[in-house]
Amino acid sequence: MESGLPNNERVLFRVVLCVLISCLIASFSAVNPQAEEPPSQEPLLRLLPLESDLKGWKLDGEPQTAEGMGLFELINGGAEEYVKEGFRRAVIATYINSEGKRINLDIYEMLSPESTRSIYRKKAGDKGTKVPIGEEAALEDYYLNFRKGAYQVTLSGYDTQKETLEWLLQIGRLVAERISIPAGTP
Amino acid sequence: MDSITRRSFLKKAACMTGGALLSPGPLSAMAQPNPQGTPAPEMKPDLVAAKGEDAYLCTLKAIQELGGIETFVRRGDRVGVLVNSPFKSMGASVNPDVVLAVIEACLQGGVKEIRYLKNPYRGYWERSARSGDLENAIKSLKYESGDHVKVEIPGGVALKEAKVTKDLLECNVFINVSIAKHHQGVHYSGALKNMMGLCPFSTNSFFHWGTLRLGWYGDLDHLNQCIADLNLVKKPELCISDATTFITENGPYGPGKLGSAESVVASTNPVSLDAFCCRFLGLKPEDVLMIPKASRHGLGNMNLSRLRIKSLSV
Repeated sequence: MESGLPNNERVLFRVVLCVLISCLIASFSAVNPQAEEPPSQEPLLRLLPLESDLKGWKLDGEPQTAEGMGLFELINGGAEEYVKEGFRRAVIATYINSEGKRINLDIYEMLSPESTRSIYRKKAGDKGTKVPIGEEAALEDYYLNFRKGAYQVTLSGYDTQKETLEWLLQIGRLVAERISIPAGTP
Repeated sequence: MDSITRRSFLKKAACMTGGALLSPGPLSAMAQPNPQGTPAPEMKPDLVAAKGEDAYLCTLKAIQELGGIETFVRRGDRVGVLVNSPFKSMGASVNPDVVLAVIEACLQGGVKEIRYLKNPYRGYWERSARSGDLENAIKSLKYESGDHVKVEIPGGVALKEAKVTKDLLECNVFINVSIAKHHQGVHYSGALKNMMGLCPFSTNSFFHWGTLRLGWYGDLDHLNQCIADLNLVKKPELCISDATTFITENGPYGPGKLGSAESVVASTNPVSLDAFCCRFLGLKPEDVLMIPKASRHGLGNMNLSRLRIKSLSV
């Protein structure tokens, strides 16, 4: 047993063990070069509504994406709760209409529907007006939260006008339609 | 009878003169200003809180009451403005009208260049109705170079060195423009916290994970101490806090429920400013750990009862 070894031998044992594990990881990567490539963002970007489905609205700049701890660089301190609950990746985009109005769309893919339920509770709580989007949705003064499957989605505008809220709901519905829930997910 | 020497005469004369000036007798009254004459100039306030619907005008008024922009900038200066404006949600970034007022005042003051030390989110300026009229002022801004340099912090308790944007060190005047808002980790984000905007992710990560405790906010004492220490890197000449509209939950990123105090507050130090503005989030200065820690560094007075505070409506 390791615990029976003298101190210097115990240290040596640990070093050798670390080297062996590193070699194992390195050899696995070598036979599976795809493991070093980041997973494609395409499926997540496909959740963004098409401009053709949004009359008068278009994407304002390139959507931004993040995976794992990269979320901290994307949304700073806002990332803590997502990471704590089990975050996989995110895409963040802004839409703009001909009048210069903007709507922000954040889509967070969590590790599981349980993670999503948990983060949704933190973001939306019991507040807001319940609306029929995804599995659960709440509309607040100028923003909308909903969840579906492993996705937590937040949309926000810059005013409380009825028209803005209508667009939050419309874009939200389009995102929800584009999210497919794997069969058998509770 | 004692003979009077030159030395004893000078001693007695000095004692009599000093006594006369210090005693409350009729001679001491001669040292006081004539109550019938011109009044002594009013002391400048330590902090000005301007309340009104127009954030631009409130900002200009607050700067004016603090001594005017000429108190802080000179012709030919290179000014660095650090604005909390990377967050897209309402009430998570400084109202652009506040920033435009600061920029316009600096340009009126004849500054050579204004460096915008942390880039705003896309479409930020369009949030202001004044962005069209002040288009040239916005265009004149020089944005982040992206270069960071390592600086020593000799007085730092938890943070002995940090990487900060090189642009800051190339400026001779520093203006900190923050928003008073909720922060889920440190409860309050204001002027002191805004300094983290100068640092790259690697430095800010140390603030959060430096003691290897689990979680982004695993060691709040360390995080707050690092923020206080970082403020030793460069003391701002002027600090402005936007308390017009701000998130009261889900900070710093938002979106969340909004609060509004319709106020812009200005001070010459971030400690007094944060000590005053945390009330908008229902907090006391001692509730926000970084405030007493920064105060202990001598960065400002958090004891509001000892400050000259001027509140006014615009």
